[in-house]
Amino acid sequence: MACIDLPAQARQIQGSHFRVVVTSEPTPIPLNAPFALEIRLCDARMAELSRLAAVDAWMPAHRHGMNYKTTLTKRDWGHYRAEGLLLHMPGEWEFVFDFAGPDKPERLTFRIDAQ
Amino acid sequence: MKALVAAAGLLVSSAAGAVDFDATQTRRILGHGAWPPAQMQTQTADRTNRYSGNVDAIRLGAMLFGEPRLSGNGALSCQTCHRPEHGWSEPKARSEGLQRQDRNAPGLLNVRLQRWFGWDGANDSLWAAGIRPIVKDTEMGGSAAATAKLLREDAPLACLARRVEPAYAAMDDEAALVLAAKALAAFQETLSSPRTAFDEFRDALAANDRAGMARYPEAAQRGLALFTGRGQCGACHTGANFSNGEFHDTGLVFFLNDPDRKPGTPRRVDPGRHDGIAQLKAAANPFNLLGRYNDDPGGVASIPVRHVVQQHRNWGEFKVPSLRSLPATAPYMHDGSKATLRDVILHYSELDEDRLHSDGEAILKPLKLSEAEIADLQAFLESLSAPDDTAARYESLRREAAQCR
Ligand code: HEC
Ligand code: HEC
Ligand SMILES: [Cu+2]
Repeated sequence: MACIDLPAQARQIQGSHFRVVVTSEPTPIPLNAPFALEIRLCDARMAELSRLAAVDAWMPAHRHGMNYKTTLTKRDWGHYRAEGLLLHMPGEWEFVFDFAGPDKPERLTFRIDAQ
Repeated sequence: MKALVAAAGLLVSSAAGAVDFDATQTRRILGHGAWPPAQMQTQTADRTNRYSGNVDAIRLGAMLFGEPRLSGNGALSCQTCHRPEHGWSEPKARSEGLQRQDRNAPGLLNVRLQRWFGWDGANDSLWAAGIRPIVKDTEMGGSAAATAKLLREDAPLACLARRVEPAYAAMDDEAALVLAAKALAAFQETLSSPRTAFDEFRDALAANDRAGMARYPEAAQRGLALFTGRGQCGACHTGANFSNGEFHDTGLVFFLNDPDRKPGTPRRVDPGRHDGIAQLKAAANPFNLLGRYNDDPGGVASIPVRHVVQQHRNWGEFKVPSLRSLPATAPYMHDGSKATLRDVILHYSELDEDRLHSDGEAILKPLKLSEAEIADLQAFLESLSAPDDTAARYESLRREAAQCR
């Protein structure tokens, strides 16, 4: 139910068993200012809904991460909010979503060009 | 007459074609504006400081900024090290309070645009950044008690403090110190730098106004092309204030140039951001935005302090300074080790790659600039400044404030 009426700018990533839908607040993701991500697990089985363990971002080309550690709160089944993200340099950033749980751990990523 | 001007404009604009900016560079140049930024135009209040924007607090802050009685020996004020005629900085490499400091006094123009304060970002608000110099024993060596007493007993200061906070005389010493620091911040928020030749060029580029663009000297245009191109300077010096407000290691010499060092004692290293985070988050620090003096608890301004984490790479990182109004604030860098802008440019030209952290920034490479390129980059940096009237405004604020009875 968390997966209907998603905003048009939502970013979707396909995992092995479920889809992850990510929106940012504010949108688009700002450079050099704090923002939050709302993360929803869609088409997931009940057991998978509480698997998101960590959210992070890094700059592959510069080999460094953020200066901040995100806090992750569970808002509802399969619905999370990550706060405290800040991209401090322009260029390509990769977001990393780590899933833990009964099955093997899974890592999903997507990249953006922050300007 | 009109025809003459138009003809001259045409001539110059064809000459301006000498520097071509590609689409990426154009986008980057536009990203260094507009100036002044919206936050300054609307004088958006700092919600963590209840006196932000308050006219009497600004006057009180201007009085306190030049007030030597805040110091332990009655001889040092903020103005001793932050001199209005030097872009609110000073010509000494390292500041001297009651003792020599490890760092250069940063200029204070546009300081309200910062997220972190101090070269190490040990403070997360402008008001908290005014507390350390007052009470630190090697800096001004004052105290909360002496500050509170001064606010109660000096006639103009008491008059202004009462207007700002009618019940202030009943405050405890620490709260009175915070009141003084918040008034100092309200004053410092008014220090902003004017539009520059670069800003005129940037807006002309945005409007595709060739004649306007042509008024920007060619050397500065070539320097701008380097800055936004091969130099990659905007990776850290981002946005309208030319700073991302965060911390990087630019490969300066690790050891402090330490004339006070006693023979046989180890050479000292400035840990930079690593120590700044430790100070910011120290349990005994009541003055960060997680503490009781934040007037907007839980607000957006406290997101960074809640999430910042100390990492190994923070060792030797320093805050990226703004590049506006630099000619007045020499010498440069956190340790004042570069006497001139040319010296800073030479540093980026000759970077010692072995010195840079192996796990650190992969973006800094020695640029190996030619003499002509060095001159162009300097012309560009100089085009980011213009005369400002903050020193005169400071004097008139102080005259007004002294009338309060
Ligand atoms: C002894 C010289 C000295 C005095 C006196 C002094 N400062 Fe500073 N100031 C410095 C130095 C040096 C730094 C850099 C400190 C650091 O990085 O740890 C600094 C940093 C700052 C900053 C941070 C600026 C930035 O861009 O990060 C502010 C704000 C500031 N001072 C305000 C004040 C105020 C207000 C007073 C008076 C209450 C004051 N200073 C007194 C030398 C001084
Ligand atoms: C990796 C990030 C980064 C890049 C890229 C970078 N800078 Fe800097 N810059 C900094 C930092 C951090 C400092 C302060 C260093 C210190 O004091 O330890 C600084 C300091 C300066 C200063 C001194 C300002 C002052 O007030 O002391 C100037 C001028 C400057 N940079 C210009 C440039 C130019 C020109 C380029 C491109 C050739 C450039 N920077 C590229 C991070 C960067
Ligand atoms: Cu980077």
